[in-house]
Amino acid sequence: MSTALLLFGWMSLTGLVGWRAVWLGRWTSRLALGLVLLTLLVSEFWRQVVNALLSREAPLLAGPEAAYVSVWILVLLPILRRRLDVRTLGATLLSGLTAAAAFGLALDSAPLIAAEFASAGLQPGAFGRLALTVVVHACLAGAGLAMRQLMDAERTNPTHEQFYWEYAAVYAGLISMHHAIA
Amino acid sequence: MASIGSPPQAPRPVPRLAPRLAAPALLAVLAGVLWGLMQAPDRAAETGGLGDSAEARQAVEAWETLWSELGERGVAALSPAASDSSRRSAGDTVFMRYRNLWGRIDDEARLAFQLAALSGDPARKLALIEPLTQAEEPLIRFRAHLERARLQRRLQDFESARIAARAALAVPELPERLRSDAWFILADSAWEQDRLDEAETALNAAIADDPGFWDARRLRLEVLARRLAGPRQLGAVCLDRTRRMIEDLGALPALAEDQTQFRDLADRFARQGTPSHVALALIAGLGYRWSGDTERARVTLASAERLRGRLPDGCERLILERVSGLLEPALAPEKRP
Repeated sequence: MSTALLLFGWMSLTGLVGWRAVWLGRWTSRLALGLVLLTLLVSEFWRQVVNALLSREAPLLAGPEAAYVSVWILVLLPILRRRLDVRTLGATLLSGLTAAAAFGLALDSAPLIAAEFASAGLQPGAFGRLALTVVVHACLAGAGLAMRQLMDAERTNPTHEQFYWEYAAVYAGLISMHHAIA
Repeated sequence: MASIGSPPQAPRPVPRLAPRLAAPALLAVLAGVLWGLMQAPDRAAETGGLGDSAEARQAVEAWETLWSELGERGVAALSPAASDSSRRSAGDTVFMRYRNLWGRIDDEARLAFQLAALSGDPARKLALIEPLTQAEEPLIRFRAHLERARLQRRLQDFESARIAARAALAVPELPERLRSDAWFILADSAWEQDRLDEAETALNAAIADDPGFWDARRLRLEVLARRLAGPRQLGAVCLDRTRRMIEDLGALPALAEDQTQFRDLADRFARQGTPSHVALALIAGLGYRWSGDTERARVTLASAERLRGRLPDGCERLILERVSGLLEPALAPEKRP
C-alpha cells in the first residue's frame, strides 16, 4: 500500500509541475526533496537492505565493486575536474539519494505488477518478466530524473534542461549491484 | 488590483518536459500496482514475515504442510514410503543397497569387479577398476566410477573421490534410482573437506532420488545443523533447512526400524542439555517427544525461548510458534500422540 501512496505522490508532484507549475510556486524543490527522503524511509526494498545488514540474513545488494568502474567515474567526474565545492557535493548527494529512491520504488512496484499477471492466470515467460522489469525501471528512472530536476527548479534555466549524469550513473550502478546478487 | 506598470508575470523557471513525460509513466505504473494490490491483498502477511518472494511462500507452504501432516498422523507421516523393494535403506554403497541390480554384466567385467572386491590392497583394487571406467556399457562405467569414488573416500583422498563421484553422475542413460549413491559419496567427501554448500546440495539430490536412504538422511542432519548455525542465510532457506531436519529425524528410526534412534539423535543435538539455536532445540525436543520422554522434551522445548536471536527473525518466529504449540499439549499428557 505504501508503494501505491508513494507512486501517487510522485505522480501528483510531476503532474502538477508539468501542467500547473504556478500552483506549487517555490515549494516545488522542497516538496521534491521531501518526497524523495520519504520514499527512502518508507521503501520496502531499502528497509530490507538495512535489515539484512543489521541481522544475519544474506545481503540484497552486492558491494559497489559489482558495477563497472566507468559507471562510478561519471559520479566522480567533479573530482577529476577539481570542482570540489560544497554545492557540487550537495548536488551529487541529492542525485544519489534520488536515484536510490527511484530504484527502490521500482523494485517495490515490479513484483506487485507481476503478481497481477500471475493471479490473472497469465504466466509471463522469462522474456515477459524481463520486459516488465525494464519498463518499470524506465518509468521510475525517468520520474527520478524529473524529480532531480525539480530539486534545482529555481536555479536552472527552463529552456535548457540539465541532464544529471551522476543521477544516471548511480541508477545504473544500483542496477548492476542488484543484478550481481540476484 | 495589480498596478498597471507591473511587468507581466514571468513563467516560473521550472523544467516542464521531464515532469510531463514522467507523470503519465508513473500513472501507468501506479495503475499496475493498484491492480496488483487488489488482486493479491497483503500476501506478505501470509508468509509470517519472511517477505514476499516466491521462495518464502514455498518455504512457508511446505512448512505448514509438514505440520498439518504431523498433526494428523503423528510421526508416522514422516516415514518414507517403501516404493522399491529391491532397495535397502542402509549399506556401504550401491552394491550392498541393491539386490539384483547387476544382472546383465559381461563375464570379464564381473571378474574384474569380483577380484577388486576380494583384493585387500587398495592400489590393486583401483588398478583393476580403472580400465572399466572406459567401458561401453553405461551401467558398468557408472559402477566403476562409483567404486573408485568409494575407494578414494576410504583412502581419505576426498578430492579424487569427489571427482570420481561427479564422473559417475555424468554417465548418461542411468536408472534414476542409482544416482542417489553417487550423490551421497559426493556429499560425504564434500563434508569431509568442509564444503558444506556442496554437501547440502548433493544430499538434497540424493534424498530426492531415494527418500529411503538412511545414510544420506543421517549425514544431512549433521550438515543442516551446521548450515543453520552459519551466518547470513535467508529466512526462507533457514525454514527449509529446519523442515528437512524434522523430516530426516522422523524418517531415520522408521528406516532403521529402531525407535531408540530418536533418543540418540535428540541427545546428539542437545549436547549438555543446551542446543545452540531454536531450530536445534525444536529438533531435540521432537526427538525426546517421539522417543516417549515427555518431561525431557518439555524442558528442551522450553529452553528454546532463551536461544532467540541466532537465526533470521522470520524463521525464528515461525519455529517458536511451533515450539509453543508443542508445549501446550505437553502440559496435558493425555493428548500426547
